[in-house]
Amino acid sequence: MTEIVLGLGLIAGIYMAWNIGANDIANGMASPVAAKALTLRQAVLLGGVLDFIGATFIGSHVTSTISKDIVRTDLISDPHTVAIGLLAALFSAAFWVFMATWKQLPVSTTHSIVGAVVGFGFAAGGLKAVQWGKLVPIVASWIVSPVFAGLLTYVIFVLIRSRILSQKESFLKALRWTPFFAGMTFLVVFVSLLTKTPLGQRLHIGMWEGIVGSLAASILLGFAAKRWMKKFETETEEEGIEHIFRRLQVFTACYVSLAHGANDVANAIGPLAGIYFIYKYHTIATTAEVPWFLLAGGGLFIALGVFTWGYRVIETIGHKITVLNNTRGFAVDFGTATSVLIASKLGLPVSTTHAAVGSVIGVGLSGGLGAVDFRVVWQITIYWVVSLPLSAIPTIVLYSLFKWLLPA
Amino acid sequence: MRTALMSLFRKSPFEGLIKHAKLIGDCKPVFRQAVLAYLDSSPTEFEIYHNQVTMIEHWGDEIKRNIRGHLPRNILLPVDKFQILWYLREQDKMLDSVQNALHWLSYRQTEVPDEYVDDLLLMVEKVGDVLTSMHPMVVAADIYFNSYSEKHRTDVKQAIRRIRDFESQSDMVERKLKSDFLSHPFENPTAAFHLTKLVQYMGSISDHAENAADMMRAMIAK
Repeated sequence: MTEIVLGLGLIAGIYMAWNIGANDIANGMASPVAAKALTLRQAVLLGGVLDFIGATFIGSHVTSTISKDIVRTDLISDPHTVAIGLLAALFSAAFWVFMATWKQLPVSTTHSIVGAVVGFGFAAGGLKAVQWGKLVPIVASWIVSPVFAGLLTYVIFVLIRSRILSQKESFLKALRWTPFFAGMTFLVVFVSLLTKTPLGQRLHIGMWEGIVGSLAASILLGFAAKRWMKKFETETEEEGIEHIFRRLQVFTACYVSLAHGANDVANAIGPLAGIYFIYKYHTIATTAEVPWFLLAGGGLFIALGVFTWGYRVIETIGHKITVLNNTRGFAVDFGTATSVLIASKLGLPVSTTHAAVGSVIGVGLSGGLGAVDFRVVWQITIYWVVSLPLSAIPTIVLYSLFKWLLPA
Repeated sequence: MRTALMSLFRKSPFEGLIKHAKLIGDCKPVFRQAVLAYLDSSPTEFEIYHNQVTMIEHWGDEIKRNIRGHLPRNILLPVDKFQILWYLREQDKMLDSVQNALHWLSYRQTEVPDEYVDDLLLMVEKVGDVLTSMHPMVVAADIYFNSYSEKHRTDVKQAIRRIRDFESQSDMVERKLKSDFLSHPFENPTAAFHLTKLVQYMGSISDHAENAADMMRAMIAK
């Protein structure tokens, strides 16, 4: 029977991963397409590849939070119960994400899977089986993530505006600031890639070594970026500035895709990893790392989602967000990616979409956008909250069904 | 998820303000033709231009309502919403004043003494300059709020200065005409009242333009 559970778990995991790739890719790649910094084909290719890299090399910490910490495995000790519970959670979350996508509701795959796992814990062991305390930092991160992304984006755009755009000889000022902005971007990417990741461990790089190495490489690359930017000549200063930020924006967009892969692969792979361990060791995994091939598989199907469906989403959104030019786009993408990657490092499952929304509001608050509708934040918050019960309730139903259909 | 992200972006009120300012500029030739027709004592021709201005004012009102209707609470703008609405009010009052001037003319056919015709046409010219100078200012402001470049801010300031200059010139002609009309020995004093009030309406076009320009200056203040 465990083979059937594993097989079904694989199907649900693959479907969930595909959904994640298909729908969330536009969070990072739509704005560079809108600003003509990337063609649609380049965006899809880069997005798919970087999502895969992010999922495979950076994603393991987040994966562990969802699969191990929310449900008390000491109270639900039967491996088969946990396996079918995780299976129910995965199907339920995938179904909810599918329904929400079909209806164009702004839900998060991250929140859906958290709600579904809570539903399983409740169904299998009652209120006691859910580690409610563990939900507090997760719920807090849902608020912290857009607020932090918004603040970061606000600061970045105010800096761009006051130090570059409003200055005389603004192009020269933009060049002067290029090492800082490019260096910051490189720094966060390198730190994310090298510290506390399977890649860093494989290369035997400790946390401080990783940070110092990343800092040195970022400073060098920042100045190299300045030399490169100098080569491009434009007719007006404004065009020149947009030119610089167009290139930086491509980099930050890549970085959002990387962060997305790192953070969201957990939604598909977390429960599947739990089922896999039960299948392999006939015991509940509490401390083991998620195997790399599961992360790579998750990344592969996320990338497949990007290639098969994501391009349509990018195309649709890319045509609509023409209000984001390169300076704003850079600020939004930088704020989104940094906040998501920091959350990912802290092991918090945050939503890329909500970080992106927070960033757009950040630019709006700093006066960078024509008009931003604050009411939408309330709408998002409502969907955010209902995602939990609406993915938890089907999990309870599915769990009961699987328990009956797939006895131990 | 795409819905949430997309619905965050709303139409900038500057799009509407630019359209509205364009309509104001369109009034210049029509207003001039209407005054010329009036001076030529051609009521039929005058009515054609009068009706055209009424239509333009009506379209302007529609744009104004549209801008106001799309600025509910919770909409975040690069400038204070109160300032935008105040600016819009002043810009719209320019159209109202053009319409009022022609309405006022339509109530009575007054013979303008020959020695004042040139000054009256000069006043029309100055008001026309004010009418056409709104659009470049709003366009420059829209570009500035997108780029935040000091160069574009200077462009807006120059456009504001131009409006102030035109207002000052039209003010001078207005005062001269008022003084002339009130001191002219018209056979019927109603003629003096009619022409003085006409000049006042024309002057208020420039006054509202200056008020709008002042508000724009406040909007681009650092």
